[in-house]
Amino acid sequence: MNISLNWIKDFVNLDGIDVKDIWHRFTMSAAEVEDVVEKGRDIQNVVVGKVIDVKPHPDSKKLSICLVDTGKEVVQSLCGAPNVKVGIKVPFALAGGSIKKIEKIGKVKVAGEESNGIICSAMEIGISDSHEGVMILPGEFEAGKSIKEYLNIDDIIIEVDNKSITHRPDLWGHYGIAREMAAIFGRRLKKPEIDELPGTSELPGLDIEIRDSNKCSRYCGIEIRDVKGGTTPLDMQIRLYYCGMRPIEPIVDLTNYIMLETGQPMHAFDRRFIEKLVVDSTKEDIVFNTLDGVERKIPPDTLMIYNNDTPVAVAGIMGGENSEISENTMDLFLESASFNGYSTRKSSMLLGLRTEASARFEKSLDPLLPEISIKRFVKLLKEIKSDINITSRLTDIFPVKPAHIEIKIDKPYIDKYIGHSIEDKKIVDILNSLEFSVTQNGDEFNVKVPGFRATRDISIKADLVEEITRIYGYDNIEPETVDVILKPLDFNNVRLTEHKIRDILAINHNINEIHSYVWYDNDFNKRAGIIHDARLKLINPHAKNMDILRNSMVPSMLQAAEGNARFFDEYSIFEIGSIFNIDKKGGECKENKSLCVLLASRTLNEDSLFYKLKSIVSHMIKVLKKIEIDFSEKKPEYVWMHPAKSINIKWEDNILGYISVVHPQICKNIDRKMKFAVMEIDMRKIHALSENEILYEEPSRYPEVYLDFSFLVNSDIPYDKVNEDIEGFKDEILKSLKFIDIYTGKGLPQNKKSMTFRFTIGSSERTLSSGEIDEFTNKLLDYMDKLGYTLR
Amino acid sequence: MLDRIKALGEGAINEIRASESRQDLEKLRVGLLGKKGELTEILKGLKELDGQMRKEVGREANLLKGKLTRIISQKAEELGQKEVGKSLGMDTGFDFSLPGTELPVGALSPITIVQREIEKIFTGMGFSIVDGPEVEDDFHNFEALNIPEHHPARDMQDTYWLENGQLLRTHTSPCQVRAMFKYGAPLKIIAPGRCFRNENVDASHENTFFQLEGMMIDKNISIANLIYVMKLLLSEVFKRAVKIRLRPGYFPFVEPGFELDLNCLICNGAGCSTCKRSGWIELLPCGMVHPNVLEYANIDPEVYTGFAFGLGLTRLAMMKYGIRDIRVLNSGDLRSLKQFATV
Repeated sequence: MNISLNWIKDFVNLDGIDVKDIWHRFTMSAAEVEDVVEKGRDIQNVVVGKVIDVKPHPDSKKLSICLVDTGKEVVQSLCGAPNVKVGIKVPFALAGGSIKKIEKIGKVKVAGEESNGIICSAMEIGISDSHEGVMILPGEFEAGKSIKEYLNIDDIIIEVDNKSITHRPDLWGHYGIAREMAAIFGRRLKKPEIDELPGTSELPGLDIEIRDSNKCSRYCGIEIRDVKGGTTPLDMQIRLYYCGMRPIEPIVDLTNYIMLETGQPMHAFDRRFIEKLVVDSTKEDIVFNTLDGVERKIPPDTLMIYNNDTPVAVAGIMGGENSEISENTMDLFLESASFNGYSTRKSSMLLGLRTEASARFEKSLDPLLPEISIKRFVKLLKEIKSDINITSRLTDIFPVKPAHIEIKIDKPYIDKYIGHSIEDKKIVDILNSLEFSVTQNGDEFNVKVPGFRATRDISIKADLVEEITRIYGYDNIEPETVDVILKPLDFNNVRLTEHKIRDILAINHNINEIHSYVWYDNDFNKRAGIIHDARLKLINPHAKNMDILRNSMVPSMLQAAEGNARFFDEYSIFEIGSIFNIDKKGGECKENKSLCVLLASRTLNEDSLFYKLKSIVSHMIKVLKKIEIDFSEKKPEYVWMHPAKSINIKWEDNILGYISVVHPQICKNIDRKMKFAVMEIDMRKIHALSENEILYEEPSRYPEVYLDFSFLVNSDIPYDKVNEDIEGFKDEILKSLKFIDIYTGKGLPQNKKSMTFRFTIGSSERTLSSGEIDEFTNKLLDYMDKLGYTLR
Repeated sequence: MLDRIKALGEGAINEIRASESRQDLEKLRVGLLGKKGELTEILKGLKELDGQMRKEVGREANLLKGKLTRIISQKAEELGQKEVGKSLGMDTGFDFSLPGTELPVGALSPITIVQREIEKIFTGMGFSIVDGPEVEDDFHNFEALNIPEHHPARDMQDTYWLENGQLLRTHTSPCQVRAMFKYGAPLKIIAPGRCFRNENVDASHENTFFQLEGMMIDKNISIANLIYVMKLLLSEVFKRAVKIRLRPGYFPFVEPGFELDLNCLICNGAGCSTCKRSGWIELLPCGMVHPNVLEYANIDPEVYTGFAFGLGLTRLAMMKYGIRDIRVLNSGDLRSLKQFATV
């Protein structure tokens, strides 16, 4: 919200306080100032000029040659505006001066004619964004005087962060800001002047009925006749413009002005269209044309203003086309009401229509404002047009009176909450300066909350602590260490394990951690040929192609892999991220963490990547849990899994996750030469694994013997089968068995591969004799022979 | 025979002395003293000699054996030293400046690095780390944090809504709620995690970012305590003394609520481009836990008070490493991310 310092000064004298200090203190005690703009600084040497001659330019259809009386001299200036006429007074920027977009005005020649200074539009002197010809000044302005003597072009505009005043309905107008200033600087606050509407109390009332008093607690209306004519004063126009509103015509401008000043939005109906005004909620969908020319479907339970049965406005949000004021409007039905904050916001959200009015009503405005605002409106309208007629009394339907809030708070509570003692007098002074009334009884303060803070903002003791401390100044509170009871909570082992996994993968295996988005990129999935069965959708994705929450990490990782394929021949990435599932549409989300590792290479073949992942996961789980995991056959579940090269990662009967070469078609779709392999593990399963105990065994005092044997194995027999067969061989002196390598090269019989295993034998009681060793060898080879494995 | 021993002895000693390598020396030793060595043969032949002769030859031969053994071992020692000496020489082709075998290290996300650092600081101060889901419900994300439906404060958080009525959490604050329900008071927790807001993404805005929520509840927790702990935290994070200031900030789940500004570390408050000439950097929202929030979680606000704060982990990581474009963090682009090799 933009705040004009000139406007603030209508209500509080800030003489002697540096502008910087004003806004610093405001930021430190009230709300955040986002920006400060000095208006008028770039408008220099602009005087009132009188146009005394206008001739067409001989070589230009658009330009005319004007003579302007600047008070001191008469100069020639070229002007392109069609409304320039002899006799008008205009803002005239002298040579050497500055206006918007022209930092220094010089003498120029246009199409052979000299131009000296510029006849300005309102836009050029920064007080409007309409560029409708030159600005015509009132005739009483004296030629030669600085324009700033007549117009308050110089101002300081402060942009207050709207979010920081969400809870302060009282700060949505200049008067409320001025009240804060008065409290912060200890200055006196002047109330806005109002018209007490003398002699109107005997006039007839307007026919107003509130049928839904839950959503409208007060409705004030007044009839004003003969409003046609008159113009919005220039200074009012400048303030409106500086505060972000476009001046339109006096009645609209005035409702806006009052809103910016008091915070209370008002609405002016053309009197001809209102007979009996009814405030009620819609019972069903209706269609209504708002004054912005849009036909809207209004849902049930929306508060509307009706003329009898005909809707004429969406209460607190926007008026209707059918009753808005126009240039033919002679008489007004002026509305100033209290609409419920929650319902206004709800309707505004449902309609997708946010307005200056709804933004204020939704904050829950002071119910005392409607009456004051009407009186202020009349006061200012009379200044614009003195011959208006008030033809009704101020009709005030006020079915729900606001509750008065009183809070009891005691000194020990305040001191404890702050951790710092503030003297009683200071507490009372601060509260009083904010218009809270306080009665003190010993340590106890009885605090009455002013109406403009009582709608939602202040209701409990902690709220008062905030009022006291923010004005007292947070900088004045000394930091103090805490004195608390120690109570250990559960240690977060999940976090510890996650961090360990990150370290293992990064440090031991050279894999880089990345972060990805939790939704699929449908465009990427399509491009890569990824089909998935995720069903949890976002209602309001920021992009249409990103509306589904992922149920696997793999597509996210493949997308990251795609990006890197342009720069690297070989890389590895991982992430521990969330994946999401639902059982049925509309069901609750089941979320869990998943670890995904992706290896990519242009040089290694896909098998190597696959085996590497096997080693990585075995190593990782061994480090974490001291267990040796198993693998088992897997049927591919997802389109990215290789039909033959995928396996489950297993511990006992639990499947922890899987490893798969990425389907060659998908690899190809992503990068012509890149091979990818992935591993995805359910983190819950990892956390559930219990860590193996270390069982210490005394080393044997007698030497162990290593025997390596290479067996010829049919090519189609998998390692698992061979290993299982060998494990079937039992012998008292066999200590351990280990696979060494596989050979498939030259020198082997057809359809055979050679697999080498190491057998470690020994005894804890004696050194083995050569006889014992030979006996073992014979027994083993006999056993293997019977199973069809011959020694190579 | 005695002459033969004498000649053998002289010849052998000369040859031993002249030998230049351990291999040569070993050959000599075997030739003399080995199983079939010349001297061994002589000693073996002793039993064929008689009386006086056997005695004399035996004595000479044994003397020579002793002498040769001694000389050989002396020579062996000498040659050994020579060899060590030689291996220390410059002509071995050794080049200490050749690079070692490369053992590459992967990188952690800068967020992880910063998150761990802060987790360490807080666990050191006795805080526990808690987690919560990324898909939350209205109750935990809003309702229990004193943000009822149709409260204008909901505008401050552009929420991603899901078709099933749930939402992507807009802050880590729901973790407070979950922790209060689970553990009650007193409570000292932090909750780092990913959050989501439906914002347009540009160099300084992301729809997916990391926050770290902190909360402390006990009897007697005050604003003065909050300032103390925040100052301590930030001094630890930035590894230097810091100046901070509090000013009013509105967050419905705290009362009073503050924006905490950090005195700009680049210009020490003089004003620079980083702090937009103000001398201060808006760093973290915090405040005293709103009594309604305590009450929601069945904690008596007349007995307990507390403070809570939200630290932008993403923002902190960017500050720490001078990352100018926030989009780097979720890009998966290893050209950037590889630089954060494990520390």
